Amino acid sequence: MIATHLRALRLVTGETLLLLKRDRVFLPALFFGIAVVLIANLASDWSVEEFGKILFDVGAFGFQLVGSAVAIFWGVKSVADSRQQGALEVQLAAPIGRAPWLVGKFLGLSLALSALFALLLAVWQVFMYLNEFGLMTPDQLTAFGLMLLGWLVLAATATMFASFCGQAIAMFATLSAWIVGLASALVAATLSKESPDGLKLAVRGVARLWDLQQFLVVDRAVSGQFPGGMELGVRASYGAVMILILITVACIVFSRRDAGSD
Amino acid sequence: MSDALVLQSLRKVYKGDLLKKPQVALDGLSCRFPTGKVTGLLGHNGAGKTTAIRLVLGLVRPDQGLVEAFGAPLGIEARRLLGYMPEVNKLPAALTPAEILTRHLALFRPKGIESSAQRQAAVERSLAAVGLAGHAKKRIGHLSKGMARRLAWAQAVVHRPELLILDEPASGLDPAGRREMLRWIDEEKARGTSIVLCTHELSQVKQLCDELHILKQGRLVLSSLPVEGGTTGVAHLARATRHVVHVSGAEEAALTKVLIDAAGELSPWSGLAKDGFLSILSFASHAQAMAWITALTRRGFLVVRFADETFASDEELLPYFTVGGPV
Repeated sequence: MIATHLRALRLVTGETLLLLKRDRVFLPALFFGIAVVLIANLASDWSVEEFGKILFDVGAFGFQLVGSAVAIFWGVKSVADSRQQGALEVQLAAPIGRAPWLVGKFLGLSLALSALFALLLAVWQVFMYLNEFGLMTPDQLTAFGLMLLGWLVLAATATMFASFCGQAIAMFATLSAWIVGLASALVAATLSKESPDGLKLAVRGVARLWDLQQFLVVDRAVSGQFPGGMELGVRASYGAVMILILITVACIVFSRRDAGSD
Repeated sequence: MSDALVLQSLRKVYKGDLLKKPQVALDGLSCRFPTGKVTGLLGHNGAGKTTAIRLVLGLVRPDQGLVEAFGAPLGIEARRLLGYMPEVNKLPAALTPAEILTRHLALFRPKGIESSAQRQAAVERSLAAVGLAGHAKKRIGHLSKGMARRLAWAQAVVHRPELLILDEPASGLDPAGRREMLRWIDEEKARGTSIVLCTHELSQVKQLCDELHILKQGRLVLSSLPVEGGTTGVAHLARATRHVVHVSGAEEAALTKVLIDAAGELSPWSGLAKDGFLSILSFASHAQAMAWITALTRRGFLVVRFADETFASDEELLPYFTVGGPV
């Protein structure tokens, strides 16, 4: 039985990766990534601020934007397409459990995002090199790696919503979760003393549970205030636990619901 | 011989929400599908056929009841025995036919097709059998509807299932494609595969089915098989064997003239109907039908099929397809 599940997991992962590789989002995302790097280059040239800081800030922002958008789009699409176009019906009629199917989808999605990440990182490294910054430091590479983890958390969120919602609702819900995740810690930190206690408790609770700023440390890698090993470990563990929780919830809900086209 | 598939007291209610009321899709459905036979599952739109099929495939959870295949509850492992062809083509458009079948075989791992070389050979054989040998590496999204149906058939049977579930298999096919599809189903039946045929087309039912179940509003209302004790409200469908000859492409007037001319030397036919390019002649006995086949062939008509059909006329069955008809 375990062998059956593992085989199914491997096949679904491979198929998802292949489908995403053939998806038309891949190339536009890459072109957009290159465009952002070029814009970062221009912005650094024009800015009165330190050249390297602006280059990293704008570049990291573009990197984060492209990766998060693709993670949300692919995460929703890879599951919702199967549900709405009906391929899921044929696939689940085969000897394959619901949970291995969904986990396979997420793993395929993670591999596709990692491939996109590697491509964008390679483009970024070339620009860094052309601007005489040399090779990226281990801190900078780690910071970008943490950003990839953030993309995977978003991909898991999208997968979870798509496992029980239609495409449009799943997209909207994941986008909302992304915005909340980016803003929660900032809002919690800027609440005034006069804010009602209940509101403070709620906002701080959300910020503690759902904080996507945890994965954005590229600026600190440039400014020399890079977090230590312990803090990095906590951030990475937070990402891994979030992925685990989101995919587990998705598997439980998906296994209990009727499958098929909406 | 045990049954290939048994549905026991299946009940399924689709839960409503603020805008939709709960809907009873199946209301205590019990029926069986004998091994090695083609059993038709019929009913009006919304009768519960698709829900019944989805329950068998594990796509939908029953609120009550049990599905058994070959004497055991139908779990994930038992799905290896199943082949499924949905009504609408549901294959990922970005993959190729060869990729779809290869992955399908890797998932089912039928005996004798375990290595990748065996899988590749089986895929090539399967694609050649459905006339897609030259399209193995074409994206499914670029295939015509008819080609996609052929591929769906190939996917349903490539792993040699023991129980084949077909949902409107000939839907969307041209007349030649339909005929080919019916031939493939005949071949699977000859191989001993148990087949559940879900269709609206009575002509297909009469040509192919050995047994018949008709659903209405989520319940079994007519069956050619004896029903379990305690099940009420199910009428028994008596068999009325007739022997049919299908003549392809014949002008109706020319065929009628020949029939009238030959009627002096041969016993008369008992029915003549048209179905697209086909003229369907029915006879009271097997021997009469054989004599007419000889006579028609000698006169240059193309006889494409001969079968002994076992079910009632359209007029007897049609009332079961209307919501207000007999229950």
